[in-house]
Amino acid sequence: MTSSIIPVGSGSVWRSCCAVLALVFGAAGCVVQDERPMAPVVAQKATAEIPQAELLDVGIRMFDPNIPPDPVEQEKRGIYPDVRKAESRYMPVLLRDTLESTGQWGQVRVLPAENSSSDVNIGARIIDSDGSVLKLAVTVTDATGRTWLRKDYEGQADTRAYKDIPVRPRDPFDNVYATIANDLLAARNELTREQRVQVHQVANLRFASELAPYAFQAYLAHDPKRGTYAIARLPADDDPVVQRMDRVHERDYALIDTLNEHYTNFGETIDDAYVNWRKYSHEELAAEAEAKRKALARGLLGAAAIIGGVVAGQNTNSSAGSAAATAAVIGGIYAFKSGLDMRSEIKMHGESLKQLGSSFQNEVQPSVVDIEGRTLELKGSAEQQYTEWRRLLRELYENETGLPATTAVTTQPAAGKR
Amino acid sequence: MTTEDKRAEIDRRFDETFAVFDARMRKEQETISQERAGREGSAGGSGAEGESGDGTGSSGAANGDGTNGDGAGGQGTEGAGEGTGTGDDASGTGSEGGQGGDVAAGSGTQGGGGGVGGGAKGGSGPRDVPADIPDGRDDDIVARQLREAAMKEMDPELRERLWEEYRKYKQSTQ
Repeated sequence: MTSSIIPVGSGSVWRSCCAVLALVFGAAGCVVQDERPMAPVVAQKATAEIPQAELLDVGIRMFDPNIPPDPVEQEKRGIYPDVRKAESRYMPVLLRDTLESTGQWGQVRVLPAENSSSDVNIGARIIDSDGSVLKLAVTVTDATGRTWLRKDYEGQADTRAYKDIPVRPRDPFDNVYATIANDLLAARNELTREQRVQVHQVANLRFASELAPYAFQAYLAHDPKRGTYAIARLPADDDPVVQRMDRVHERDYALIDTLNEHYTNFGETIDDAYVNWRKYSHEELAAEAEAKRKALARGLLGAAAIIGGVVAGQNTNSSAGSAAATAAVIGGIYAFKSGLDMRSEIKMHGESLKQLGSSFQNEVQPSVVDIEGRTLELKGSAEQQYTEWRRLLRELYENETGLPATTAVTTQPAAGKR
Repeated sequence: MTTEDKRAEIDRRFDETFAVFDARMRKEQETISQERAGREGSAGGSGAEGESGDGTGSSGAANGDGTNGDGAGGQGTEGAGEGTGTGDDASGTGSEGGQGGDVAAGSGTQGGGGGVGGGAKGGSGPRDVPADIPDGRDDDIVARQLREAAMKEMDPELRERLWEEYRKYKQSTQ
């Protein structure tokens, strides 16, 4: 190469060229991404049996898919509506399984989006999900209205999940779910035993109060401004209305459990295709980022070398200095051109990502439509039963107390929402 | 009717509705179980088939007209199709061939969309020199390198960028 024969004695010309190059390589080095094996976050498991009265049930609402209404914005952010809808049902199932595996909780269920009737209720909005990164905004509250968590979680994909190896994580973002589980546990552990028991009692009373407010409202102290609930007093266990309400509550659990089976089924149906989409999306994003990094580095290198070479050529009188300057300029041109080539590659990766997203969207769309339809059908069918049960509860209350159920019409929540 | 009789009547209706509801849930859960069993059976039976996707995209072909030539979409994992075209003045090579669907490599179910606009930009061949570019007799070594790089460049977009750099450089040296 030309550089090997350039005499060192060209002094300031070389120093200025080298300074420019060092600056360029330094700038390029800043964007190099390092991919290392990820240390697993382990969801803390229960080491002792938790008393039944303190076991809290957890409801995970279907995540907010956070789909911008504007199609242009969707494309700009690489959001495919049906993919996001699928994720909004798939991710809660993963979080549910993580929480269940710890043995720290009672029943953990995925709930329809608008439901918040469990002891502990988890809601999350998908901020970002592209196979490389998962970012969720998570909010956790309990039945008393107490906020446990309001926090964003972000995780990089554990790429071992994308590889065909014997031992690999179940999901590339297991760490995100395990971190949420551990934070949830830490929040629960801050409650006293009495508070935990009350959370469960308030959840039961809220369910009853929404179905038969005339009979149960008096048991709850509700502060609408603060959104909090407390126990005013407890109903007698042998109250006939309470006993029937318990039987209705069992059916409500059965409905939610059946919906959960649908969600689980849905997750299993799309699992392979979803993992593949994330895997290829991750690869394309990584390749795109690498191409951008190279394009930036080569563009900077080329421009700096050309400028440096031209300036150096003007400032030197020696033939060696002039040759060095010319070499720098020629090298710069090639580097600049190479940077332009990389831009073509970046464009190709962008197209591949779009194609991947739209292929997966087409594949997953029938499953999304199917789960949406089944959920609506099941809830619609259950709603008829809830209407009948509300009526029977009212009749029972009037029969037992001899009083009119005057507030019966104030709350008429839908099935699965209550 | 006494309070007890009325309560018994209400309980009877409760039991009836509970029975209807329970039967509905049982039926739904049976359906879910059958679907799951069916899926697991079919996944076991066709697992190998699923992995046998060859990554061949539905390679589209983009046909240009007489001046622009035609292009065939690429196939396979990262295939990039290439269109060739013949322009009025010089032979050209389109650079935006199709990209093969690499999704198919994983699932065997998704082919790529190939042939995205192959050859659509043929016609303006790489050795074409834009009208405003001087003949280059007074080019110094830098300008000559830029000119040669532009003339060899296949991608029209990159080619134009190089010509733009050439113009800027020539202006700066005059």
